[in-house]
Amino acid sequence: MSTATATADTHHDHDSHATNTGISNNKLAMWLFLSTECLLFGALISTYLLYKTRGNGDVLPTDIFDIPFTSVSSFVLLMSSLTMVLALSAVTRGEMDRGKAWLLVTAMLGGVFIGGQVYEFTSFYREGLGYTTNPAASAFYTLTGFHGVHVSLGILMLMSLWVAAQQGKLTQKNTETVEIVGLYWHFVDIVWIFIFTVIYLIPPA
Amino acid sequence: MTITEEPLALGSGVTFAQRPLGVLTRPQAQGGWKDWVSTVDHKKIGIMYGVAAMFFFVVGGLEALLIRTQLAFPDQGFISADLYNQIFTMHGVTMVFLFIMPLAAAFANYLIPLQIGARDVAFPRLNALSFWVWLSGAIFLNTSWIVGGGGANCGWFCYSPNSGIVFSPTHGVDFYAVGLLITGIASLVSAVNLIVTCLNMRAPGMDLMRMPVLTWMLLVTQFLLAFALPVITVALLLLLFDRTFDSQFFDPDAGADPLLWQHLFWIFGHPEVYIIILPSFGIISEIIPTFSRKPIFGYTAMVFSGIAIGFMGWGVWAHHMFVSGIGPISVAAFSMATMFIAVPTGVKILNWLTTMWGGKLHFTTAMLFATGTVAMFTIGGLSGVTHSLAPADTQQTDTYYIVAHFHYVIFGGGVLGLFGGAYFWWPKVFGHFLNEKRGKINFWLMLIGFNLTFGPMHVLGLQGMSRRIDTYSAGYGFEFWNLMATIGSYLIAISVVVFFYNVWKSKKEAVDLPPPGPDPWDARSLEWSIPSPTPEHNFDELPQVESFDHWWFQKYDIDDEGKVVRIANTDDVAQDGSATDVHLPSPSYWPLVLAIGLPLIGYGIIFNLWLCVLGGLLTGGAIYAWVLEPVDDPDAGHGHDDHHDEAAELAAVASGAGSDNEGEG
Amino acid sequence: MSEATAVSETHDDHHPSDWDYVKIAGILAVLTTIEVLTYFESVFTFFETRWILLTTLFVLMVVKFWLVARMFMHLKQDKPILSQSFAAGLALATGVYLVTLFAFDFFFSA
Ligand code: HEM
Ligand SMILES: [Cu+2]
Repeated sequence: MSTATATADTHHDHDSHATNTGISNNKLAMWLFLSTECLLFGALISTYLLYKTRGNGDVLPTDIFDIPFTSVSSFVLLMSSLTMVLALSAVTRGEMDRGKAWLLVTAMLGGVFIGGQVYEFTSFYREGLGYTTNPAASAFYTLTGFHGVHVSLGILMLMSLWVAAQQGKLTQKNTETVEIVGLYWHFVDIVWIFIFTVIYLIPPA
Repeated sequence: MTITEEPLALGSGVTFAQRPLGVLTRPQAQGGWKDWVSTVDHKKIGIMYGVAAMFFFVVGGLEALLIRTQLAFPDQGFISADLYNQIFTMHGVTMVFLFIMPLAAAFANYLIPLQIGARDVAFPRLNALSFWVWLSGAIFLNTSWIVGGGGANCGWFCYSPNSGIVFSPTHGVDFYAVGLLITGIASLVSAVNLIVTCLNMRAPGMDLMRMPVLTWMLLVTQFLLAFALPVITVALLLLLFDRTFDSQFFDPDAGADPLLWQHLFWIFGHPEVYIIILPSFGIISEIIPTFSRKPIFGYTAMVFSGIAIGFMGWGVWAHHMFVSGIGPISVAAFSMATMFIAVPTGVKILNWLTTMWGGKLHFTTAMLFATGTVAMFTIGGLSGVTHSLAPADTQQTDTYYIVAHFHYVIFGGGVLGLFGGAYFWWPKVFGHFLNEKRGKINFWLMLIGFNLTFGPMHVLGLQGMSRRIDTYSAGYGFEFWNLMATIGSYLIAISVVVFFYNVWKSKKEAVDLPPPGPDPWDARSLEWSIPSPTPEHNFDELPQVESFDHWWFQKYDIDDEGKVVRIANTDDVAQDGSATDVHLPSPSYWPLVLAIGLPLIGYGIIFNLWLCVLGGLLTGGAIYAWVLEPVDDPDAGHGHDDHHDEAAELAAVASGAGSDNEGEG
Repeated sequence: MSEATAVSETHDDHHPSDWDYVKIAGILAVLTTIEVLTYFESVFTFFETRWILLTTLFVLMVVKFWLVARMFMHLKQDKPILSQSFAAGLALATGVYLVTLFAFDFFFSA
């Protein structure tokens, strides 16, 4: 909430005034958007599942997965959800310095995850799995790449929040803004929880 | 309700850059073209959707006339086979994505806030963004005629491997994919916006189960859009990647399965047919009670059958694939599911008929269109049930019988209803009537032309004439009915000309006629309680809703014997639109700028990746500027707090645009 | 509207403390460790039995998903309509894509 009415300001927090559901428009919109994203990732995941054994004679992603490596980067992303929620909790209490720090840590953990993905893609490519090698490869890169783009957008939003906080434009009053970006971030994380199990951990039959 | 009733001041004290990025001063103009390109008013946006949709109706209509002219007689060749493929593909795509959907969006934008008693939608700037992005996608799609080496030629469902580079070497399919991605972003943003509007912005007392049936059907439509569009987004991206980056999603030689496309397309595609039809169902559910002078019969059943259709629409998609080799279990299951979906549809038809039963019917043009809709849709629904039976469908599929079916549902059930809506709400939107006499000519010509065009196609299809052939030989018994269909199509064209003439002439005549007043049809929902045309701020004062059909009960009551008695003059209870202290969201240029960036990215993917950089900069810059621009312009001296949050909008915009940006990767 | 005005009073504001969040993250970490251990089938030989492996992995995944959505995304404290809307998208996606994969004989080869 950047523009709050006098009446609204007397309310506690959460900006839940005066909408029929008691949820602010922005938060409701973000949740609806995330619901629709389930259909988007679902389509990509099913495409990969359908194609994961279709190697056309060439190497398959499942042949060259580096589970220990991916486990570490998955863990990093998972923990970034913790730092995100700590950032929100700090901003809620008005501890902006602490909030900024956690925001930055979250963005950095996201950056580590993306770095890991870049490393993974490069080494797969060296092992002969190009984007156009076979349907399995195309589906794998598209799915994980799509997720990577989502994480990168999240990093961008976190950094924007951090800059805004640095300039004093983001204060305790904007708690909900942080919360909404957080929702997006956690969502990207739970998508990865799914991908990690279904794509990486379940070995070929 | 704090938001709307207080003549409020801007409370936050935060100062924002007035000219973010140092360009484009905040628009302040009143009137003129600047007003239109920067508007965030849901009514103006609705009108723009309507105008643009009608433009594309003409484009798609001309394509249809070309098709019918070629098929009027056997063995004609004035259109080559290849061009013919492009024309029917672009006809279908134009009619579905660039005509019916935006025309429904016009009604949704204009009417939802009025019917629930709100001053605007939840996110006015995102609303403007939806329109401009849709328009830029629509124009982009059609530029493929000029720069893409012709239109897409793969049919509106663009099956692979036909859509691959081998069989479709021109850029037509690329334009199809990118164009629909762009319009999809627009529809997704607008769906989320309108859902939030319905859930959050209702006037005091306007419970969900007091919302007019039209708003309900539009709400269901938005949910369908929100969940169906991501599916086609993925399908289109995979297709685009196959064509531009040589990925292997649909290449059977590489071991891929072209059926994947069919599934993804129809998981989207069947909900899409309800996206097309439900707005029209909603419209006639407003028209029929008004001109039957009775409340709608079975309001609750009406709402729940709409919701049921919305749900069940997700479980029948593979009935488009009965002959694709999906296996006996799938065929049987989807066949059953398809038969069941006729049930809630039947409930609706029954409720409309019962509403009319025993009513004092006034056959105005709007009412004629509404009853025509019910009748034609019933025919289309019945032929639908005939091909829910898989063995029968094996004969019917890919013949003109299917063409007949879906035109009866889409044109008969959809387009007729939307035209009815135009006649019904015209006085509310423009402050004058459309002439009734010309309207009736319009209706009868359209109805007769429609039946003459598509009725014979049932026969042709059962005789075995396949769809999507550029010509046919003499001697198979196809000649007569084809000629009839062509004559019918020209009758439809004439009826559309009559409509446009009516629009033009009625406006000219209006100066000599008395204004329609707030409630010319003696109707039932809230939009009729305010002046015509609608004042910029919609409501002087938010209504306090006490029941379903609240506005009608302001005028009438039911006495002890169950008789309807008039209790107030319309003019005494209607608002006069004189409020001056209502604060409205400020206009903005950024939605338009952002929308211009997207087709540039599209051209970039197809022709030269450097263009993507340009488009990306424009889009990214616009998002950034958008975020820095306050929702309410402090200089405008008033600000209407409509609960905005820049970061959330950024998130929505960025992730929406993100699905397009992936194309660069 | 009555629901609107009543909101701020009825709203449940008992968000977990930072320490609670850390504890949840700890649980998540443990669950992830178990997940990764399944990879070392040679050590934990019972994971060679496929149904045990699949069940374990699915249960762990669902629990992790649930924890993040309920606790970190505050679905537990927030209005039910948010959970409902998200559940709708999730259920719909699960339904249509399972059916699609089923139609491709993904689960049982005919
Ligand atoms: C009673 C309800 C309905 C039933 C049982 C039904 C059934 C079907 C079936 C089984 C098909 C596939 C035929 C084939 O390709 O072989 C079909 C095609 C089609 N239906 Fe319906 N339908 C119904 C309502 C609608 C509605 C309301 C619309 C649109 C507003 C619609 C639009 C279409 C379209 C566009 C196609 C053709 C798609 C194509 O192949 O290009 N249908 N319908
Ligand atoms: Cu269908």
